[in-house]
Amino acid sequence: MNPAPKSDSSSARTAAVIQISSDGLYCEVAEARKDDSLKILERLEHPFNFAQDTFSTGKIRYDKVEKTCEVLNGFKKIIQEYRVSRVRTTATTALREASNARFIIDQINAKTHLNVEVLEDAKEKSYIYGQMLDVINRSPRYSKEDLLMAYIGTGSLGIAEFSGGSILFSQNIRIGTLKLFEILGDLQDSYDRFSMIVNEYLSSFKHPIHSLLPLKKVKRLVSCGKEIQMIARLCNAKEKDDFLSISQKAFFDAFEQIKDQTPRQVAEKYKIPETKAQILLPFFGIYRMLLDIIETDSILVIPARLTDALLREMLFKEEAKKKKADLEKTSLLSARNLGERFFYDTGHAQRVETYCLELFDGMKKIHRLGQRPRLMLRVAAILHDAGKYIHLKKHALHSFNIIKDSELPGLTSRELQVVAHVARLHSQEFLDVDNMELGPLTVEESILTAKLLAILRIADALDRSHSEKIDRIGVKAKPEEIRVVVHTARDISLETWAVEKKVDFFEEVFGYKLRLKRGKPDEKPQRTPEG
Amino acid sequence: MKNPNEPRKDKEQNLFFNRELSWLDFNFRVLEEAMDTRNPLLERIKFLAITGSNLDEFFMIRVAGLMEQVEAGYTGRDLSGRTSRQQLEEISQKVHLMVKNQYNCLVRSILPALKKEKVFFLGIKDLDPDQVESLDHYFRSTVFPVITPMAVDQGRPFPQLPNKSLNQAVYLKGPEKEELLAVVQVPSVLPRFVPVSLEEGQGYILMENVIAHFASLLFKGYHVEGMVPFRLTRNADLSIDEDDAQDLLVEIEKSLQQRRSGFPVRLEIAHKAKPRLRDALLHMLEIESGDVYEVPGPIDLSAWMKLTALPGKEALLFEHVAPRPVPALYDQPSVFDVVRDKDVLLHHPYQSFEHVLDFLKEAARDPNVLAIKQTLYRVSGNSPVVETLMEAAQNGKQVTVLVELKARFDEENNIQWARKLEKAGCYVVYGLVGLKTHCKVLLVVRREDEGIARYVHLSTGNYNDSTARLYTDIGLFTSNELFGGDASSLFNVLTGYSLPPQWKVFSVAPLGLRDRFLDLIRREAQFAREGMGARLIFKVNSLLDQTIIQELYKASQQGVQVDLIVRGICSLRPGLPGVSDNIRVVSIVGRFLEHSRVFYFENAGSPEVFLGSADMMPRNLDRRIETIFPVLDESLRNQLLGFLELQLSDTLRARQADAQGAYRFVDGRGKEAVDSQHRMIQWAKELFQQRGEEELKPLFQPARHRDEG
Repeated sequence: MNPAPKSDSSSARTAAVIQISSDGLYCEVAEARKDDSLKILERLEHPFNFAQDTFSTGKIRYDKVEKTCEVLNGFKKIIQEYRVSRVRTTATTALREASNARFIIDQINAKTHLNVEVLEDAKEKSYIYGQMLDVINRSPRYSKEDLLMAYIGTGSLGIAEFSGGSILFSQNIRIGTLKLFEILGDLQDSYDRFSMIVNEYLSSFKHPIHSLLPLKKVKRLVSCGKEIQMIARLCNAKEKDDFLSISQKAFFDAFEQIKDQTPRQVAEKYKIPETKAQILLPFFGIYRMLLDIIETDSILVIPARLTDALLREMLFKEEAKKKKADLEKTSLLSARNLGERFFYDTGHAQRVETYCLELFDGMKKIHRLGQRPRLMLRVAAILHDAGKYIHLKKHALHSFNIIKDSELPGLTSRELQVVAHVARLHSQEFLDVDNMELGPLTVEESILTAKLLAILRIADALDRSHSEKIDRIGVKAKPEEIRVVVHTARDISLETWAVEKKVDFFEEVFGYKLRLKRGKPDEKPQRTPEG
Repeated sequence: MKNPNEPRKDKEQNLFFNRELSWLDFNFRVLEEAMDTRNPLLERIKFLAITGSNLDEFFMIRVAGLMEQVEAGYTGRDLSGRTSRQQLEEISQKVHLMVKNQYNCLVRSILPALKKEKVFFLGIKDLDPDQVESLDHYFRSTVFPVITPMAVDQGRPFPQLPNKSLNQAVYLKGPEKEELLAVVQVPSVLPRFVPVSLEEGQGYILMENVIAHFASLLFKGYHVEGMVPFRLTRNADLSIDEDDAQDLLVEIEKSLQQRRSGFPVRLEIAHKAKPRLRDALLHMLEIESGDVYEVPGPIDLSAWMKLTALPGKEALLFEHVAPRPVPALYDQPSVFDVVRDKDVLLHHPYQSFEHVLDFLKEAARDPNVLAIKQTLYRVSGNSPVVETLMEAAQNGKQVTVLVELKARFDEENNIQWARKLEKAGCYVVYGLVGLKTHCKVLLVVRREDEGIARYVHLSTGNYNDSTARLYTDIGLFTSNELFGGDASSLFNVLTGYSLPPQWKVFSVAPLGLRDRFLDLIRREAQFAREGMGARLIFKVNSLLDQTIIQELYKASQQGVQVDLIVRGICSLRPGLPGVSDNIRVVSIVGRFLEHSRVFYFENAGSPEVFLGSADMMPRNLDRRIETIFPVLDESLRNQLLGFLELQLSDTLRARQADAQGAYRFVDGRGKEAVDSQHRMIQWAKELFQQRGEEELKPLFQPARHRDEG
């Protein structure tokens, strides 16, 4: 007899991801196998040039939507064949950068019933980095090395330094491949000059990127993606267990070969489609620039893909949870690294973070906030004083600027905006819920900002003297008030005074009084924030 | 008939044979089978009729194409160095010889043999008055109403005669002695062979003779001076502008109209026609004398196929051979269950095509099957394949059918059932612009406990239950995920959903199939250079691709033993000193049409065998979607090698080509008499009888070709 599945449960083991990328439409259907591996059942690729529209006019033309929907409906048909119920449709740069994205998404929804979710750049990269880390950490060899991870999107270049199994630093730089085409415009026609100009243009980024990097020398440059795989093939890269390794020399040799050729010549020579050849030159240029910046032995190409990350997230719940936790750790680590770049007061930051966590966790029922705000609060605690490096005067404003223009893996730019505002207002006197000047934040974001801010201000006040006076605090939410028990043997008049000045805002935000109460000095050391 | 032993002058200065002449040689080989008195009489008539319909197609497509080239002033040369005009001249010569041989065969050999079987072909003068009387009745009641004589004069231009229709040209004189030409179409709705009751045996009179006899009834007031049957063949190559076609289906329907009125390419006319009539016809049809074939007997040999269904004469046919079940699948409730564990190979027509239908039916009804996808190129009338796909769609399966509307001469048929499938809820697609979908793939996606499983059937031949009894083809069932993945991807390409992927096991034309072949041939040559025994065996229907032939020459020069089993066109010249010494070309023409494509590479002791849908012709490699796939199971691979060796050792139906392109029966002296098709019949039978011991029975124990040791 046929081994028939008992119920429809097997459909729960399949998922599909549709991606609207700047160079095409992609769809993958996958199944979770019992050994926790991902089995790709279908992989569809339909080339489609959105990017040119987006980067040249800032908009996607409406007539492209029609064609897009036709293709998407084809994908849907394949997805339905497997009776997949969980479908995630994501869009990256092409829609992210288009000013009419919301209308396009609505039209796509009307014609295909697909809900398109625009993946923020930071989110896209955190998926990719997460996937890259997974691959790297599975390798006993590479996981111990210092690495520079690079991910070239059509709109931007993401780089991250990696050491001892986690990310030290990450930054997004707005030099994507199509960006290059946009900038260079008509120069595409004259290819002999094109490669020269690309290089000159890119070299202007060299110094700023170099100065950002915590490590100036790494063992390898690690990358992933279709294009670098193609480059690896052109360089006759060595392949081992799905990893491709390109030596410096092989890379530069290949670059010399190709740099003065037209895309047609490249296409003919390497038997690749001309459209792909066209995109290869900017990729070559960017990798070359990175090799100029950082000392390294070779480029390592690893099999990490955004789609895999999305599919795994949908299919493996436990793993997704753990990944989320890992990513939080990475966010915190990056925040600390950012703090270090501005010589922040590590001790103070740590204490404030601790107090924030006590307050946050002790008030769960009152603020009703979840895990993301908790993370944002911690990041705000770590970085609230980073601006002091620039000047003590208006340091909160400097902190705001530092945070809002940074990129922290695992935090979206909206979240970072909230964090930045929390930092900006953390030391403001006479703060009132009406005068926060939160600019472009939404109502929900403003309320969130206020809640985090109220907590951070109390925590900051508790370490007003920036000296380790307090052993431990305990937080109790009573029906009539929030009671903060301060365990210490030292004099805390300054802290009490400082808190006094912040409670009004706190009460305004939460509708509860906050009262300090002195507790016994504690032998038990205060917990330190993990991660 | 050309004498196979007569030495042929070396006209070929080139390294390649001409395609058309090579094809005509193939048709001569079929004619040999019609001549061969070892074959049963009605089978010989079949072979003869096939040579006739083959020639019809040849004129409608190939000759028409060459004429268009000449018309367009194209002066390029083919592989063999001939211009189009030269080719037409040589074709004309060769076909004239062929026609002579065909009618020799019919008149001198087959008709007398039929007479011995008491089947008589009669003229009016052979009939007694009673018989004429009943014929008269038949004419007046049945024939007369469907005949429309058409007079030709200045006011009435020459009528548009349908392609391949049989007509009578009539030369008339009126009451004022005025001359008139008329045309009468022999009605195609009535039987060509009009039965005449005899006391003993069966008599027939040809319809055109009946019409001739009663012609005066058609032209009252005129005197019939002379009559002659003729048949016109037209250009039937469809020209479809796919790029601008909004709806391919509609576009093809339109162009089918054109086929009826393509320009004339051949005139067959009864010999001894009055010169006056003959010249008038030539003039009106604008046809050149080289394209006129005077036929010493009844025109249109393809019509004789009808006669092979003579009731009560089954003894004059080949002994009926029932296709045998494949032991692995015999009596199994589920094909899935068998194929989940192992690959299964099917040799049609020796083994049953029913297994494929069973598989499809099971898929249509199994609640766990999610999707069925299939390519269809030619299907039989009332095809059970089409019926089952419709049933599957009605059962809620996702059914995707790739229908090739451009399958030559099946276009009309295909349009009809494509519509039927659509109506039943199947998702029907017509393939990619400019490319015919020729690959044979059936994919079933099924939900199982372990997850999604894919079952694939791949074949060298069409999903056609009728031709599966006549054509030799090989099919493979597999549940190997690499095949399933490639099959899925292939359909995604064909439906236009996706770009081609990196294939895992398939090689797909036009995306690098030729390169794949070249690489494999080169690899073999490399082994030869390194002093290893190197060998390749290809079995195809046609070998025409210049690049591949040149690579084969190189391989031969490096010492690769190249055995080619090419049924039809072969442009490669075997046995040319210094060029192709190590190449042997064999053609097998027998009761079944050799159709499977098999590619064997010795690969330094780790043999690789591929099956597929592609011939080695530019059209297959450049303008069609074809797939070639490996057979990975070792025992199946050995089975296929055995099959190839068997064909190469055929002494009864195999002809070997020489360097001049002449095909001779292989010299069987001192060898075991082998009819490879007959052996396959035996093999399938024995395999089935001793099922369970499948592995024990090698298909064929090859005699060593090289010196031992």
